[in-house]
Amino acid sequence: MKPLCIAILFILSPLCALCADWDLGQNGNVDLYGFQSCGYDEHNRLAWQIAGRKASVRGPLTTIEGCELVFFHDQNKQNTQETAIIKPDQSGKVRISLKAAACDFNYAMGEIKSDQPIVIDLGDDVDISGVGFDVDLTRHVILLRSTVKLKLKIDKKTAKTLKTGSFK
Amino acid sequence: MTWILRKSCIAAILCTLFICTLRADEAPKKQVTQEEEEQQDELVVSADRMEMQLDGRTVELTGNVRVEDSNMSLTALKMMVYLTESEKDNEKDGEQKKEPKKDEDASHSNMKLQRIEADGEVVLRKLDGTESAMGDHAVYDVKDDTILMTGNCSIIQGKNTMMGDKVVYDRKKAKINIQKPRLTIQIDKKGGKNNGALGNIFTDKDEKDDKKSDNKSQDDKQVEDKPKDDKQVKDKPKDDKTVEDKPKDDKAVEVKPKDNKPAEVKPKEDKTVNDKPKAEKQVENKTKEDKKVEDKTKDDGKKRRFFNW
Repeated sequence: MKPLCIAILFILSPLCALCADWDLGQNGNVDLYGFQSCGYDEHNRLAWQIAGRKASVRGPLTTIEGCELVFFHDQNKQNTQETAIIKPDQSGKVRISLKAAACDFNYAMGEIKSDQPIVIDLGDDVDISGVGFDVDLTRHVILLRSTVKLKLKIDKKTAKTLKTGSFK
Repeated sequence: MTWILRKSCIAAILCTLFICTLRADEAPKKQVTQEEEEQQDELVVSADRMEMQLDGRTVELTGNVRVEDSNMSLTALKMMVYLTESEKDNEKDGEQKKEPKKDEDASHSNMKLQRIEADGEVVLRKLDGTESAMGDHAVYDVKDDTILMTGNCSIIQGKNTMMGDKVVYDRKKAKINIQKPRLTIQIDKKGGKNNGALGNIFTDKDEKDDKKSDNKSQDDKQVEDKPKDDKQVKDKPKDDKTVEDKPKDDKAVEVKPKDNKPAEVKPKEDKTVNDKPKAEKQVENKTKEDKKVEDKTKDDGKKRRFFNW
């Protein structure tokens, strides 16, 4: 019986690692599959969420493969400029996603860095891509280091209807 | 059996009709999407570095910033892109909200471009190369679909430049307009010498004078470009007759450099010219505009020669 239990535990142990909680604040040396982590704002609302296919925890730094970072913005958050008009859905959150092949995640500092290409999805009309990025999770700032490319789609209909007269 | 056959035929006909109606419903939707795609224009912005503020919905671009579309390209040192949440999409989202939603579909954002501000050495060029505009600051407004440039604005069209307070580029018409323009047109001097109606009559003398002027140093070029008759016409109209009656003196005056050094050929009659250094200094200090006026007066001088003969 004992060898059977040991064998069963040995087989099930990787499965347990998949659904285990790991405190990234403590230094460790662990490889996690199906990694997912999130952060909350001052009002305990979900602010950001990061997920990856595989995460290698080496001390304070976590290397995530196939990472996807999602920012959630609440309607009650301050809008510093008049142009920042946010009309959220029922849940009160607007989602902005970032995808990269790999990144280094520092949970204690709230920073994500990478030299890999990144794609930022802001909807159907705005696409951003670049190589190398730095993300500050506390200030909600994304920095692309090189070869930045933005594709902006403009609806000609709205431009025609709103245009009252051309300059002559 | 006949009943079965009849029922099967009816069922087949109904199925085909149903499928046809479905395809008919799909076809116009596809056309609409194609029309929507045609009505959408795309701007491609490239830069070396980008900083995005998610809270403020702003994107700051620095380093070789370039904006391109189908008609023009705009470059600047720094650019700010302002985004906003689209209202139409929110209405659509409102309709979707009534339906039971999944987390992924409901909360996804749809940002749209509101305006772009460019700073520092802003240059706008048409891709066909006909026109270009420059300024210190530019603003692109999506609603108006125009680019407004301010600060030391200028438009270059071929060899002509036009300065102004503001430049407006209409993206739809691909036209550049300027407010309070100041136009500068370049005129080629070489083309205007012998093209006048009376120019051919004086070719011999004019050619000789040109040869002498070509052999002279750079210091004498100002004197070459300023015919003596015109100098004397401006400064001393009374002396024109004396000069006209003394072609030799003209040659002597041409030879003189700026420093008023003694000329190579100095007949006695040239002293009258040497005693007048002020006129020569005024002549030497004339600008290009004066040269143009002098070129015009050349013809007048020639006419006078003709009639004096």
